Amino acid sequence: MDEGRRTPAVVLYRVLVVAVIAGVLILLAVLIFRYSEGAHMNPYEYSIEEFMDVPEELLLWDEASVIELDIAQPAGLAVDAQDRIFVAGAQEVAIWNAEGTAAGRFSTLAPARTIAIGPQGQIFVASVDHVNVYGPDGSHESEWTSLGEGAFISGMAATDDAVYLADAGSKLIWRFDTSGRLLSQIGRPRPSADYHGFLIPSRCFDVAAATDGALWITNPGRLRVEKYSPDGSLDAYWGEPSMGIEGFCGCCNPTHLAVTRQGHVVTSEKGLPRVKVYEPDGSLNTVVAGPRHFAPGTVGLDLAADSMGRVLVLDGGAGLVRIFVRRSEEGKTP
Amino acid sequence: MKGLLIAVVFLTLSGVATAPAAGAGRYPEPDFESGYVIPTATTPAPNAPSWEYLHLVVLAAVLAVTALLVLKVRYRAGVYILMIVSLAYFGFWRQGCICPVGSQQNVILGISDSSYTVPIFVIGFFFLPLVTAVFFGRVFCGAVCPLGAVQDVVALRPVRIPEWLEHALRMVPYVILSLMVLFVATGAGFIVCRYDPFIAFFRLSGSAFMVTVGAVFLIAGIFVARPYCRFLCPYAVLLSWGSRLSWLHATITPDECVKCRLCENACPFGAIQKPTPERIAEPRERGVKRLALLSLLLPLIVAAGMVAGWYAGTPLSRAHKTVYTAEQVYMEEAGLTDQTTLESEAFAAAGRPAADLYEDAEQVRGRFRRGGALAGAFLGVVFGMKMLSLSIYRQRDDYEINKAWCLSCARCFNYCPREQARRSGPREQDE
Amino acid sequence: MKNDDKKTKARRRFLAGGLGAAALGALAQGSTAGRRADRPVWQLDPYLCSQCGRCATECVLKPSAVKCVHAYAMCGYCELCFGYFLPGARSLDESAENQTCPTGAIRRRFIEEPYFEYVIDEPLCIGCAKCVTGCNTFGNGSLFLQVRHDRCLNCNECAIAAVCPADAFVRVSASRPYIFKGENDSTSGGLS
Repeated sequence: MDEGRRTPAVVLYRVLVVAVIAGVLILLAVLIFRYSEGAHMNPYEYSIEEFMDVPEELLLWDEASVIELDIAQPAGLAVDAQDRIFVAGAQEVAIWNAEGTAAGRFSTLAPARTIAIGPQGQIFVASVDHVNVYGPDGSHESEWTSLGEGAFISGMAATDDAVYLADAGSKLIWRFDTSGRLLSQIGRPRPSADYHGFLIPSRCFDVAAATDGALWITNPGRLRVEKYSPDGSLDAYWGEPSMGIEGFCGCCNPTHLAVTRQGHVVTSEKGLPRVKVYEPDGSLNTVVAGPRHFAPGTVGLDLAADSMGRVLVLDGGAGLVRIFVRRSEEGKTP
Repeated sequence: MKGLLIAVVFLTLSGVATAPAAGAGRYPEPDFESGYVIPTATTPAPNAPSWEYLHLVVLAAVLAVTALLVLKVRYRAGVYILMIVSLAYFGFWRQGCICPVGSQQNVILGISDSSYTVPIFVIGFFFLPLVTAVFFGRVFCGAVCPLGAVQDVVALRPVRIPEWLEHALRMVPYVILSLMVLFVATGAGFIVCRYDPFIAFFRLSGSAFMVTVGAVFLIAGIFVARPYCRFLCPYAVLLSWGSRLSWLHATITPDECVKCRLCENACPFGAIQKPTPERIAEPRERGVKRLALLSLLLPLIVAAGMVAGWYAGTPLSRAHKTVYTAEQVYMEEAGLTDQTTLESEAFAAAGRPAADLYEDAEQVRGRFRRGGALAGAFLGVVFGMKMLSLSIYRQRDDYEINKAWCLSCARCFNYCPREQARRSGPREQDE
Repeated sequence: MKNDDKKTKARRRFLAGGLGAAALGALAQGSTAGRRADRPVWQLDPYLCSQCGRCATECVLKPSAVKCVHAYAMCGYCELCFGYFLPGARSLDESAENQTCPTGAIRRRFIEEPYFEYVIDEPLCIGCAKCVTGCNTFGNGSLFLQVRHDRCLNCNECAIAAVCPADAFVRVSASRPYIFKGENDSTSGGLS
């Protein structure tokens, strides 16, 4: 193939060569910007979209107001007899009155996991393995002994004569009197009686006390709520594993509990963050807030119910206490 | 470092949700009564580093043998067999990284990013072929590089590319080299590895797109011998610099050129230069004038390259993850799109403020602009020098090898009658 | 030939500068390499991972060298595991349409009432992270992705790292090639 011998074949070759090279260069140029253009789908997406919506007829609560929190790592929420609102965090407890105006704060000795208010206004603040008691003015009164190495207190309830600690580490409810003397434990498995105690797959475990003295305790591994007498006997339980609105899903739900003055049980869940109200017999009453109300991945929605029938939700991730009221036109409060 | 910081922040945040107190131990363990022991996940180890040193030793050995075959024995079949062996070893058996072409990027990253340390064997992979080139020419290309070998095998019907086109296309590797350095130094990634057209064949696995590109190269390679080596490979630039200086280099003839023209079309890579035709010497002043003009032009070309590089920096920066994520997040925030991308979703999940991302992106853009200007200046020098060298007349009496372009494949030896004479010489004496 | 030699010498001088600079850079590099000569390998930080699915689609290997790993010590051993069951599974039996994993690579084994063990069948796992999202959302996050070094080719530039939207891929030392979740709650594995 000498230079200068321009047979058609040679010309064709040359055109072909130039075309191929140009094509390759263009391909490469396109390629460099491929990822700034498209290919943005996840073919393996795990979607919970279909469970994000709550039926309108159940969603009968409105977020009436919020309290913006200014404390580090808010973890525990409680309401006292005067409906004052207590939030415990890493370093301090902050207090608001029922209307949401700041009513004081005091610093704590250890990072709080959960908080409860006693009959004489004592403030019980539980850390990972022990409780500190503060007076109504925030002065430190006493420190109870540690529950031991493996303890992880994640919930607490106070009645007139007892304080109940939900210990996710040892999977037990510890019952103390208000002065810190251990009275008994609830939840020790008794296989002979076909009672297997609490199943706690993660650090979610909560207890709430009703005005009649009954205890409501989560059993998150079994996705149910159980009712106990103060003496530790299991009276009833309910709860259905389900992604649907009526049940509990995931491996550890409900995460938190509260009981209203009328005896309804308020539950909160993680995974699909939602807050619901159940009748004492376990039938779903209403939904306070559905998954769309919270940021994705919200966990640890601590709950409280006050004497006005409001439901308070601690949304630590958003730095808020969300206060919900039942819609008035329905004519009844839970 | 930044990634680490983000990791730490994120961990602290996630720690709040799941593990608030250090020392609180694990999640509550189930109380197994059946004697079940909680297993642990396996952790299969990577290949021992000694493998990499073995590859390095093999590389050195093959380079040495190739140099011997090309320069002393002058035996094309041997070079070809060695090339097949290299293809099998470095290509199909070793299946990839690290290769000397890609190792350039590690060296650049090692210089530009203080948190990255180039392993010693990578430095070895980078320097061995270069050092060999300085002594013996591009023997690495001839019989060691698996990318070259796979193209060499398919080069069955090579056509001669017009000289002007050859010269023009041979500029492309300088562009790729500049882009490669720019992308590595700005943290946009290793583009030479990302767009390696042949690795998919060695691994018999890869993205459909790269397999297609590779196939196009191999089919084109039937007619255009070694298209990647000649018109794209950035390492070839460094090797050609080394080879120009080479202490010993392959020659077409074992002793003297008889100008028989037999080797004229022997090289499929256009690396054989013909003797220059007799020409009337041009007046000296004209040559000097032209040279002076070009020398004046050179700074202008460099300056133009810098300006072009500076402005090209911004669009090029869109290949950087931070920049395209920031652009997407900005579009979403400004309501210009309701389509989220996996990047913007991941960014939202990490919970960083968008302003941080914009600032990072602006820094990356700045790096691209400054780096682009430098790359443009470099390309300006390269193009200017090319113009200069093309305009200078050099007298050439023999058929000679272009040392920068020669791949030391030993093909041309057989075409030379002096070579034939050398080979039959000793035999005749024996008889 | 003599003529050529002269030219070569001139060019040699001209180019020696460039080559020298490169050598200098590498020398500086070499001296730092002596400090920490360990070979880097690719790994992904499970705490940064956003489960985008690209580990399954972008790896040069099919199936990917990234696989799901189970930190059993973090697992709740639940009967109802949302890493295992699809959200909205019709029934909680082990048939394929109820499983999260698109390839059925999670094996569920009854241990004792009420505990179940979940094991990743690695040859089947494609590293899509679908179960990881499920486990993170509803469970303890004991399922997570890792580059498995018995498969990883350790590409010079990891094809997944190049497009990982969460920048979760890092080069780690080959002597500590994994970043496992739940190891003493110390989180940085091979990062430090």
